[in-house]
Amino acid sequence: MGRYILRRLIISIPLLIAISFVVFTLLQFTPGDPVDAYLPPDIPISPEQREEIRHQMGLDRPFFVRYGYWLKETAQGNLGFRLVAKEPVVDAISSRVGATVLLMGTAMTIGIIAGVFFGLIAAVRQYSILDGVLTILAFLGLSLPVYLAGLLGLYFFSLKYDWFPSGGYSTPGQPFSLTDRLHHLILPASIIAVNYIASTMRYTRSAMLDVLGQDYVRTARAKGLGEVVVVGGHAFRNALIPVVTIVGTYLPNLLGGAVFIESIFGWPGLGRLFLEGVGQRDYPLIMGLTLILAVLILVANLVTDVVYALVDPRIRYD
Amino acid sequence: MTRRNHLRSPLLFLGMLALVASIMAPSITLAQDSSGGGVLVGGFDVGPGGAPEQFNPLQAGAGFTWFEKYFSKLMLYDKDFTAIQGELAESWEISEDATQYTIHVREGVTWHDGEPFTSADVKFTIELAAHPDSASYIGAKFASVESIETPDDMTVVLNLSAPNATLLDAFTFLVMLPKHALESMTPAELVESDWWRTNPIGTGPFKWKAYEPGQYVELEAYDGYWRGRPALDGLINRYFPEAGSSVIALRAGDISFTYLSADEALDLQGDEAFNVLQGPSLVVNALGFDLTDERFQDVRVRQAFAYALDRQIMIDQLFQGSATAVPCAYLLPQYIPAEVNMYEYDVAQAQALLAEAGFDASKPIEIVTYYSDQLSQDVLVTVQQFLADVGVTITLRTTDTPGTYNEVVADPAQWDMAYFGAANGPEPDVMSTHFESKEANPSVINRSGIANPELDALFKQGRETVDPAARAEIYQQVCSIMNTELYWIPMWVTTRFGGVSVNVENFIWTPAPGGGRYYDAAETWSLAA
Repeated sequence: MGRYILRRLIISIPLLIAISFVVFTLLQFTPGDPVDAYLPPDIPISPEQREEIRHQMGLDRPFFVRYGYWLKETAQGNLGFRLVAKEPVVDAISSRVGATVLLMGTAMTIGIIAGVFFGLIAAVRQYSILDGVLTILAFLGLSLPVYLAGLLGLYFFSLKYDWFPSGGYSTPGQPFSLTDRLHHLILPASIIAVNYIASTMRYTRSAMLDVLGQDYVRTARAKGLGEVVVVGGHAFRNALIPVVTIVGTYLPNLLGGAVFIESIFGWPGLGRLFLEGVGQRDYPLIMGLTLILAVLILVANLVTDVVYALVDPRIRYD
Repeated sequence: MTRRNHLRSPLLFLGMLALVASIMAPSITLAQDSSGGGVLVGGFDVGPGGAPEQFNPLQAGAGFTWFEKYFSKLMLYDKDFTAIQGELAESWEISEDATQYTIHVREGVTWHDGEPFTSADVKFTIELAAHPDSASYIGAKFASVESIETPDDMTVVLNLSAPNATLLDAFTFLVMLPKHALESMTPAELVESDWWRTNPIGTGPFKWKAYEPGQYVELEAYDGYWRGRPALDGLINRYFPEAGSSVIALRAGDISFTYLSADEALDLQGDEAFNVLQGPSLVVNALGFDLTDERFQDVRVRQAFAYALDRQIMIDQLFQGSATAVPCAYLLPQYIPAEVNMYEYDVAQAQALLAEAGFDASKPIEIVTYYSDQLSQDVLVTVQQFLADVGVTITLRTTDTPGTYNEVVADPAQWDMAYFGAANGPEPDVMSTHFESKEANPSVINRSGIANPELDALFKQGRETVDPAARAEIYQQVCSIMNTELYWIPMWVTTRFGGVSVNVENFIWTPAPGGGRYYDAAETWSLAA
């Protein structure tokens, strides 16, 4: 097992380099450059001034020189400076990672707990009215664009009823307080959670139905075990294996964040930072964030594979 | 169940209720105490004049409304954006030939750390901005400054290599920076320094307090401000990556000011809790021609296009009246001659001119734009329709970013016509970058490929003339040439809006390209109890 993990980790190094090269190359093909992004188009600026700014940003150097330089510095842990904000990329990311983990972590926790719970109920009461209602709600939850849900949520719960603040991470100018943070967190986290509830519920429901039809469940029932023991003890634990896979695919979102919700709610997270970076053609920032996401996805895949082996004794890595 | 469990669960339930209640309780947004005037929270960097989370005022192309709250400039316009008045400069003299400026710096001005503001700071700032490593387009406005002398602490003398009457306007862009805090860094180091977002020192009415990345910047009143301590205790600039969310925050009472789109302004106009502020954007929207394309080289074709467009009906219907038609790239009355052709809608005239010029309508004409908002798209579809009425086929192309647009229009082969905005203002020379020929001035943008010796001479003369009345006359001639030659079809200047809560008193806000550059008396802003 240890050797397997080590091998996977070693393989991921060339993989990461390849990913970074592809992203770096693709960025060169995106039209427009950062100079245009940070000077409004209606501001008069001469070609010489533009060239000077491009030079100052290092954009006038050849492609491979820039990529080689980026790779060398990245290997030493320096992700460079944001082109527009002139902030070290590492600082930009580290100052926003907490907000994203808090938001996404809360949303996922709500989503997984509620999703598994409702999925379980729907499976046990298959074809009941409750199952039908939950299925319809799940499809609504999956189809409602999160962008729209965010604006509607703000409109109703902040403007109409004034239950929650109109976005933001804390009340400006006030010292930190836990209730203030929670007060800002609940609305965006709940809106993101809807999606996770819906998809987790659908997967749990079908996994449970699958397991409930198995012979060993029938045997358990035949032995005269109570329904709670059958469902909770025998069926549920086995149904969790596919659910773990799904939860594994959620993991990268923990850092990827929710681009739209973070923007609508003015939440200072990584998803919004990424969007900003793309809009400003902020190459170092985009590269840094992509790299971190790529690492996370590789790690998440590895963790999922390892967890399989732990959950299912039939799986062995040698 | 035991007795204890009976007891515990209602307690737990009550506890959870209390927690939920405390989270749902609306929090207090304005901290007010008896001694001061409270803290005003606003979205000062929302909209086209903002530069959210850009903290280097030498490099920023916008965001001046906010910069001017903690930094100051030597000069600013008055709130109507017409005349330049002294800010940190008490007075100045310009030599007859506009080659020497003598500026007398205001006495008794101190930096936020208590150090006095002197002529040395002025010299330092201009030299820093003009340094190539600063990569500042504002610094480039001072390219004609050859040497700077500081005969005493309160006097600065600028010697220019060529006459330049536009330098006063350039000073309304340049925030003064503290020499004593920054001289230890090279310009290149300063560009990457975190000084700008951790501890900037200015001479403005408010001083830096805190920056929460992605959230807001907080300023507090500076007791030593030379006009006297501000009435407010502090000022907070909240960031809204989605402009639509700022209006919700305004309506919810979480902020007191934000920029508004025209739709939002109409919506808010009837609400007694808010005042809607408005003014011309000072950005001229125009349809520019690629003059290297031989189809557009005949002035009759360009005029025919102008006659074919019913601009007034577009203003009335698409903009709900919130735009003003302009005769040339200028909009301020002093630069507009008495006799101008407004090219009133006239299909017959348009068709006659096209026939006369022998216009080849077989190839479609593409209009490229970076304006991706719905209103601009509606405008262009309407333009397409009007031109179809005179037999001209138009195709439309919207670039995803201004950056892409700039790449397209830099290459004449890639575009026929463009719909864009050009920043204007009280200083008419800004238009020279678009209209001066490359032969006369190789550093201009001039994407249309305009080459008119008469315009070149007038712009040169304008830069060399100090007297405002004489200047106005020169630029009236410029406007007149623009109006007949129609290198661009000037469409209109739109109105921009801001919304402010009625409890904010003495609040002044004027839209301007890049925001700010006028004296808004922020030290007198206050909150009604």
